Amino acid sequence: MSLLPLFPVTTVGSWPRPPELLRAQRLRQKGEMGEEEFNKLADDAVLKVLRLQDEAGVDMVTDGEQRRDNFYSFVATKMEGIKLMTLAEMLDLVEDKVSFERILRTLDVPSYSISNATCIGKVKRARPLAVQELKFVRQHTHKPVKVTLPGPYLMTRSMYLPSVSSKVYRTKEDLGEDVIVTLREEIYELMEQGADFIQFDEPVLTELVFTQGQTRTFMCAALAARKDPAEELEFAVSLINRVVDGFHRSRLGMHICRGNWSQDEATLLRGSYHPLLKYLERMKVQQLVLEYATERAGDILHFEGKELGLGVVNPRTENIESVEEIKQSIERALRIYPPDKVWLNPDCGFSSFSNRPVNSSDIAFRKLKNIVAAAHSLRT
Amino acid sequence: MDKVSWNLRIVAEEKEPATVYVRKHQFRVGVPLQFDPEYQHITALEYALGALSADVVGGLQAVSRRRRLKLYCIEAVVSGELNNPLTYLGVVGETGNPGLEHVNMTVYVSSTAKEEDIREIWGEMLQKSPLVQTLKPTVKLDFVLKVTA
Repeated sequence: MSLLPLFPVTTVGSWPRPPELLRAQRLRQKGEMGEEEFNKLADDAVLKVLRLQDEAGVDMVTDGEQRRDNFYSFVATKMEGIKLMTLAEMLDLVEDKVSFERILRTLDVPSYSISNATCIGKVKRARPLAVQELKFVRQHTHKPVKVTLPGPYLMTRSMYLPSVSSKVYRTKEDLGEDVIVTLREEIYELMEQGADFIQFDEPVLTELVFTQGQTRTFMCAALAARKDPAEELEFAVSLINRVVDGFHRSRLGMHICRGNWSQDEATLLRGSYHPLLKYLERMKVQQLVLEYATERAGDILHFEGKELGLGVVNPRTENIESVEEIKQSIERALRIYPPDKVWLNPDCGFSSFSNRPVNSSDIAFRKLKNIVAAAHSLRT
Repeated sequence: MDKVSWNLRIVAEEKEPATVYVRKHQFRVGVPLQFDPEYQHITALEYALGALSADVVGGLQAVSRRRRLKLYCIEAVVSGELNNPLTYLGVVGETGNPGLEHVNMTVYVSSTAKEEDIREIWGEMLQKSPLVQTLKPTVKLDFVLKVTA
């Protein structure tokens, strides 16, 4: 990887898709558009996202997850034993229909618009999950590249729907064994292809600690019966550590947020990362990519031995954070982190769900530009 | 055109829910309304709201087919409020009536067609909907159409 400057600027992954690509995604899902035609449109969209990141001056680029329908269920078409089910289909299968309905109403989404990769058979990687995405980006940029993947806990938890998955895996822990194998195969290939940074997305970890007795607001957490949060967090630690064991060539990170489905901050989870601290410190990844741009996240914490991917802008607001505001956020982090351990990014993606972007491409670009300006100012 | 009637027979024995017989079909309906979420049967009020929503959803399907507009999925989320449900329970001192006062409905439509074309068939459907037109003079109907990819 080429040498990165102090305070490297990157994104958390997703970028709003253009309307023609959203239409193409729908047609492809319905079998009305072939892979080749879709890829041509997606290639154009990725090139545009790369160009925007270049113009904004980011130091490490992503492909904006343009080919994915959302940040985790895209794996369904690349794995055996997985079926992409809309939540409308799942309504028939979930036990607690009342809670499910409450979540859908909170999210203000139709049940057909979110798909979940559900385990219906023996899980196996049929083809690479993100390697093709990386290869394409590599051909079109000289900048370091970040690749995002759903984390092993998110995958295991969201895929395991007891009424259908238990016929193959007695418990979700059993399913976790094959998720580990799948992700290890993927990491190996991504590293072979020169991924500079592999980021695992694990948004449900916050769900475990912030929703005691409250409505569950994150979709995938509704799918598997919940156990004791401490037990679940231990399970998450063991999964990620087994996934990354022995891999050192690329930088490995983990992104944990509190939900990114709505511009209404009141519907999103709130609370400090403190209850997760002792678990996150034990995860063998170099960087924690965390949201700190809203007061919902509480004070910046020190995670021993980790780099901090500091969230400095809220991806969901139209207000563009000023360079001065961003510098103040960075300075707060510098009170507890040395400068070479701080990376800069938005709090989350700008469109975790392709058909539900939380901002426009223009605003996303302007936010990134201000992060870059703040980084430049602090480097000199 | 001669007047056409739709004929149903409804039978209720002792404490059993009512059974509705219609053409070759039958279905059971519980009490008029119920506050207990664990109540075992679908209430008459829930059926009424369901019927109104199905009228809207089915109407959209029918109009879109006629106009050759492809709608992949339609989903309605509905909630209804009564003027005063306590009068139904016979609570002493409660005034007002137990009729439907307000219905909120969000209808999501997934389509790759132009949004203006979908809004046009939405307007046509509302004009032609038997249940919407029946309720419109007496019930506040707040309907919102959201078009998604």
